[in-house]
Amino acid sequence: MQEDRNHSIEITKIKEALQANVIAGNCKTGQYVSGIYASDLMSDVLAYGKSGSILVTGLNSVQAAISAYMAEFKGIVFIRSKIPANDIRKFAEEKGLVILTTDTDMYETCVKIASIEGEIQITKDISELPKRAENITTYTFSIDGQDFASAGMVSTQIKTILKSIGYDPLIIRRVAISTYEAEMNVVMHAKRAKVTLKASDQEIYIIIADEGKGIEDIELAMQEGYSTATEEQRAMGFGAGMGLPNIRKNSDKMNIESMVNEGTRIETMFYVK
Amino acid sequence: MKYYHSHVIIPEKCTGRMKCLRACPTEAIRLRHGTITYYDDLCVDCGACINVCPEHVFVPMIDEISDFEKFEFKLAIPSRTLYTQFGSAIHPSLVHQALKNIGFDAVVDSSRVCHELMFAISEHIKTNPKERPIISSFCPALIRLIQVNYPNLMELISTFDVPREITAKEAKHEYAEKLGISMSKIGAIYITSCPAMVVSIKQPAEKEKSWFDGAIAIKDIYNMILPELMMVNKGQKPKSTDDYFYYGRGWGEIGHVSQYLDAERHLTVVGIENIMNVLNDIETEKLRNIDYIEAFTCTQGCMGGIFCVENPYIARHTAIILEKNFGEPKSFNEQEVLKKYKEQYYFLGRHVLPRPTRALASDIGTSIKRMIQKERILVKLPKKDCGLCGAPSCETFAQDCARGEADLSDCIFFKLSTH
Repeated sequence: MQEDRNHSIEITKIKEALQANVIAGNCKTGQYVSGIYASDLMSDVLAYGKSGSILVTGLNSVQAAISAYMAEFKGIVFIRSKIPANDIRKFAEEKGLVILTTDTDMYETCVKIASIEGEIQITKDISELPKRAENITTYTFSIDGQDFASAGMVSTQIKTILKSIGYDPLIIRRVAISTYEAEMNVVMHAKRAKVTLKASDQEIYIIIADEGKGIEDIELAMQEGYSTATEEQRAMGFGAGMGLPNIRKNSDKMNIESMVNEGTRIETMFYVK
Repeated sequence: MKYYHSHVIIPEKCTGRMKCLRACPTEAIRLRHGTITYYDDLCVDCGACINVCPEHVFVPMIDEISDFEKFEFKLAIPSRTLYTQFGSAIHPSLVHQALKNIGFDAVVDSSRVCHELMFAISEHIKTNPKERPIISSFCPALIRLIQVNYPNLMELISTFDVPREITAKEAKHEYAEKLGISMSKIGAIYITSCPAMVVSIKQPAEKEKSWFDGAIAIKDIYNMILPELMMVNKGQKPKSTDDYFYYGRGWGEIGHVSQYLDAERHLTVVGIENIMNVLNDIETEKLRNIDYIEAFTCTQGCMGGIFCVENPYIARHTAIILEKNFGEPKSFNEQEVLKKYKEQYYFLGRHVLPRPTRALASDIGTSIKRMIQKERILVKLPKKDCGLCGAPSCETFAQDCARGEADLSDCIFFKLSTH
C-alpha cells in the first residue's frame, strides 16, 4: 500500500486523529510530514519511500526504524497496538524519529490520516504494485561506476531471472535493453548505483538509483544523440546519446529524477499483459 | 510435443560420475537417487554428454548403410569434413570412389552450393537492412539453443536453407530425371560429423521435412572406406571426368563463410558458452554493427564434431592443403544465382519457431511464488555445487525443489545441518 500526498501534515494532527501514544520523539511532534508510506516490507520503504514521509507499519522490529531512518522519514506509526521494544525507542531517540502507536489497523490508520484535511490529493505513484504481496519478488544489485569490464552483468542477471519466471520473451527483451542502457549510463557517468527489480504478475518494475554527478537538463538528455560521454568512452563504443531515449522507447512508463552532484534515479515500468 | 534426440540413454550403464550433469549447457540432466533423469525439451543435441561420459551411457542413434537397402538408388552427400579425415594426399574424388565401392550409387559434393549460397546471402545483406544480425542456421545445435534459451532471437536466424539440404534437393531432382524414377525411390544419405545433424534430418526445426532420408556417422564409415582408399594410388586423379570436382572448404569450417562478407561486419563465434555470451549481447542490443554471425557449438567447428576421427587441428591443416592442391576458384554463374535468389529458391518456407520449455509454472503468479520459494531455499544451500543432490548446481537444485521435483533433504549439507 503506497500513497503519496502532496500536502504537509503536522505530526500532532496525526497523533490526534489516531488517538495515538507518542513513544519516542515527543519534542518533535511539531514537524510536518510530506507523505505517508504504508508497508510491512522494508525493502519497499527503502525503494519507494520519499524522504520526509511518515511510515505506517505493523513490523515491530528495529529494521522498521532503521529503514525509516535510511529513507529519511520523519517518524513511524506502529499499528494494532504494537508496542515497540526498547531498541527501537533508543534508536528513534538517537536519530530524532517520532514513534507513535495506535490501536487501529493499517487500512483504518491510512484512512484516518487521509481524512485530516478534506482536499488532500492522493496521487498513485508509478511504483504501485498489485496488493498480493506474495506474488512479488524483489532483487537488488549494485553497479560500480567506471567498471566497464563488468558492464552489462546486472542486465544479464535480471534477464536470467525474468526468463526463469517465464515472462513473454518480448517484455524480457524490452526490460533487458532498457536496463542495459541504464546500466551503461551508470558505468559511464556515476560513482555507483543500486538496482532494484520487482517482478509481479502485473508489472515488472526497475529502479536504478545512482550516486554521481546527476543530470543538469533532463529534457536535453532525453533527446536522441545528446551525449556527455568522453572521447575515450565513445571510442569503446558507448555514449551514442541513445541511452535515455532507448530506455523510454522500450519501457511502458519511465520516470527520471536527478539532482546535480547527487545522483539520478530512473524508474521504469513494464506491463506484463 | 515429443522431441527427437540424437541419443538414447542406457541408465544401467551409469556409475554416477556426474560428468554429464556439469557438461550439459542447458542443465537438462539430473541424477536423482542414482537414476538419470532428463528433460528432453531442454536438450539442444550439442552432444556434450555423449562426449564426456566415460561409461557411454548416452548412445548416439544413427543409421547404418543396411537401413537404406529399401531405396532403389542410394545417394551419399558427405559433410565437408569427411574429406579432411584421410590426410592431404588423398584426392577428394577418391573418397567418392571409395564410397561407391562400398555400395552407394552416386556421391554428390556440396562445394558449389556452399559458394552459391554465400553469394546469395551477401546479396541479401546488401539489399535488406532489416533484422540484424542474421545468425547462420548451419549448426543445428545452435538453432536448438536459440529455440530453447533465446526465443527473442528466433527472427534473426537465417531464413536461407543450408547447403547440405539444397544439395540434397538438387541431387534428388537431378537423379530422378536422369534415371526416370520417382524421387521416393532415391535415398539421400548425409555423412555426418555430429549427432545434431542427424536430428536436423529426423526432426528439422526449420521445416516440415528434410530432403535427406537418413545419416551415417563419419566414424562408422571411416573403417569401411579406409581399405578402399588404400587400394587406389594416393594422389591419383580419377579417370572419369564426370567425377572430378574442385574441393571447397565449405560451411563447416570456422570462419569460412565469411569470404563473401565484409570482414568488419561479421562475427565468428565457437563453443556453446561463447555463443551464449554473444547471444546475450545481441539481446541487449549491444552488437549493433554486425550483419552476420557464424557460430558453431563445437569449438573446432564441424571438424570438432564427435563423429570425426581425425584430430580437428590436423583435419583443418589437411583442409588447407586440399584446397591448395585440388581447389579452384569457385565457378558459378553469378547472374543465375541472383535470379534464383530473387525467385526465393534458397529460402526456407518459414521462420524457425521457439520451443516452449518448462517455466517454473504455467502462470506468472505461481511462477513468481515459486521463484520466491527458490530464493528462500537457495540461501539454505551450501553453494558448493557438489552435485551430490543430483542437480548440476545449487541454483538448479533450488529451482527443482521449488517446482516440487526434488526434495530439500536430497542436499547432503542441508541434511547434516538439521541433524
